[in-house]
Amino acid sequence: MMDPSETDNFRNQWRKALENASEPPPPSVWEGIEARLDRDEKDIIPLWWRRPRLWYAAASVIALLLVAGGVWVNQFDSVKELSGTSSGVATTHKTSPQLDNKLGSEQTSDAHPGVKPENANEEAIAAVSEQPKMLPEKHLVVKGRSTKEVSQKHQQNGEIHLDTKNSLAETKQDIGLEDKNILRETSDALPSVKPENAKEGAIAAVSEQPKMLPEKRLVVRGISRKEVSQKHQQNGEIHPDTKSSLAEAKQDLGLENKNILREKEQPGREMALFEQSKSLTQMGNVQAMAPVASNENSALAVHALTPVSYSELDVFMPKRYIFFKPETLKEEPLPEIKKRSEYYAGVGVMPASFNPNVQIKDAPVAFASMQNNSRHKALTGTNKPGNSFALQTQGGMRLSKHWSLEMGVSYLKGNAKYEGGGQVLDAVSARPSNVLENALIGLADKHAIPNSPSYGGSVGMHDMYASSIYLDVNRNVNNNYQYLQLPVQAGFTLNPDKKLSYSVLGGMMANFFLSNELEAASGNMIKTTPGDDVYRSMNWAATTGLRFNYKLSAKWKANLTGSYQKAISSGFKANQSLESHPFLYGVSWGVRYSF
Amino acid sequence: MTFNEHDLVNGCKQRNRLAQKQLYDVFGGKLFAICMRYTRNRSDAEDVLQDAFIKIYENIGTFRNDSPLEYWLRSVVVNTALNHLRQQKYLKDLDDIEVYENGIADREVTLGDFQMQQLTGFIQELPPGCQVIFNLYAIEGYQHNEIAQKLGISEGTSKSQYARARGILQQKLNREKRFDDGSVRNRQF
Repeated sequence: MMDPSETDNFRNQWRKALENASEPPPPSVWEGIEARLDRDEKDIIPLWWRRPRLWYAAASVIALLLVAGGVWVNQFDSVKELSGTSSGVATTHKTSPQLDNKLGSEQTSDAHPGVKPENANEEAIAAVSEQPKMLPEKHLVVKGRSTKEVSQKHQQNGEIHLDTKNSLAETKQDIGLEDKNILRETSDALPSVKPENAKEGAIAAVSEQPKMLPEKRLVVRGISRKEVSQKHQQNGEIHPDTKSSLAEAKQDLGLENKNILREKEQPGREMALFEQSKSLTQMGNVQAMAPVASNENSALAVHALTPVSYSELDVFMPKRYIFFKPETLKEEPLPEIKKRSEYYAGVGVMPASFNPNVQIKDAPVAFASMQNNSRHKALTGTNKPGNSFALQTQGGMRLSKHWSLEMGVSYLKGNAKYEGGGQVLDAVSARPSNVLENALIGLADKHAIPNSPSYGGSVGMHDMYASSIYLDVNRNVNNNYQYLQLPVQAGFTLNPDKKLSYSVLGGMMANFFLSNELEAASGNMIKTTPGDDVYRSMNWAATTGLRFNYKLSAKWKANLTGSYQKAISSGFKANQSLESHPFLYGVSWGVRYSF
Repeated sequence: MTFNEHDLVNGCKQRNRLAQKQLYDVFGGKLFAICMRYTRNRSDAEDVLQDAFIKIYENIGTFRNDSPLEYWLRSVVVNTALNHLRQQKYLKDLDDIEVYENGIADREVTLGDFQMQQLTGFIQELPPGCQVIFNLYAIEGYQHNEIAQKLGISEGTSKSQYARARGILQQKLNREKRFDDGSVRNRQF
């Protein structure tokens, strides 16, 4: 029993030695892989086409575009709406100049470039937003007062010299000022107050009551604008100090610190408060002011909410390669891999058994007149193959792993024996001949065979036939053929890369007739060549065989080939009385060199 | 060579030719050595390696990152080699065989004295059935019951074929006479 630990030792050693073994494959492997991958990719649907993630990305982009388009359309509508509102306001200004609060401020701005109408707008919005709950009550109070004062102002033809004390008292009540000291100081300093300080004073007074500030500011600013417009209407002039007062009032409105505001509690400013209250009385149509202010505020609000145009926004879009195209498609096509063809050349020698297979179609004249029993025997000849050989050369090409094509040139010397059943003895020359010889002699007579020394040229055949004597004795003659063969064969090889491989061969062979010598034992010989016009100069034969290849080295192989050849057409010409379909068995020994 | 296995796999999944080439460059040598062990000659090994890489590229999408990539690649190559051997009818007649002890005292042989090519050559010269089973059992680490299931043979056949392979290899190693010392030990692997 084997020790398991020893078994493990054996496994471990081999595993350790080979588990991480590495051997670089030849470059042809990757070339083959790449070629197959290229071939496969031609039939592949592009990857991006069937990746759902990319479809999602495309859908997202479309959705994003739709949303962006919607926003753009909305923005476009808003701009149109806004421009329509502005034109409406302008129309109102034209038709009712007294209601043009905005226009008044613009005119003021024109007269005093240091002031921007936007600031007034901002103040209005801020004032409204700071204490909206207080607005209605104060507004009503001021409005009621203003109505009375307006009627008085119309009667005074634009002069702003009023009973300041009364106006101040009324103003104190109207605007809810509780600091009586300030009011007193104001009344004392009233004669020295200049209109330029009217706004500052008004704002300062208002600033002392921060809770009431928004309402006051709204009313005060409205009054000042109205006052300007009224002045403009009445006198065609604008008091230059009004604008500066307005600018200062705006600055003061931005101050939330009461201390700062208190610093402004100067007599002049209190006088300005008086002036402001007086301005309140000059307000011609306070009721008309409210809708104008409302329109202004709404237009401003819409303007403030208008988004910045798209071109000014930083839009961060993620970069995505939605339609991914593999880089491999950009690569240059690989050169086609040409597998090197293998050629080989070989030589061999083939001992063979050659049988000419000659048949008598028509009995020669000398045999035709015989009696039946003798005639039958005389005309029955037998072909017996003799020892033959062929010298072969081959050249071939390996078409694929298994298939090959080869051609060659061979010289065949085919020996055979013909045993005739009887012979005819020429009465004149006393020369015997069997039926084959006699037939050839007949052909010689017909074609005047020049190479038949035994019989010479033209002999008096009819005389000979007439005087011939039949001898019932067998007569054998040797047939010696010579052919030049050009075989073309295809081969299929099993185990082509193994030490021992097997090839099955098949093909056609052209046999070029060189000569034939028909020789009798007596020495008589009939030699025929292609020029005699008896044999076909070329006849076709089919060939097949089985070859054993033994690999001697990478280049050299030894082979043993068994062949069978059979003519598929007669060796004699068609109009002859003889017929021959030679066939051959042979075993070839040879060597082959591959290059 | 440094490489990111995850990126390599993803590149191959996207059929990126550069990634495919890099995968081949990284693992081609090891996988070719496996092919050499399972086949009879270098030409067959090249065919198997080519087929295996085509399979790898086509099926890389099925690879999950829960195991090392090299194991997965090895398994693909081994399976491709087995298919190749089946096509070549090498695995046709795998029978239970009787193993004879040769009676020769085996010596402890250090395989480190041999070159990898020599050892691969020894394995290639084994009879086909022995060769496969030796590879699967001794190198790849499969158990006999797994080999039996994989090749459709009995477990006894796997054991006996392996024992035969072991005996042949012992003889080959002893014949080479590359021992770590000159002593003779009555010890087998």
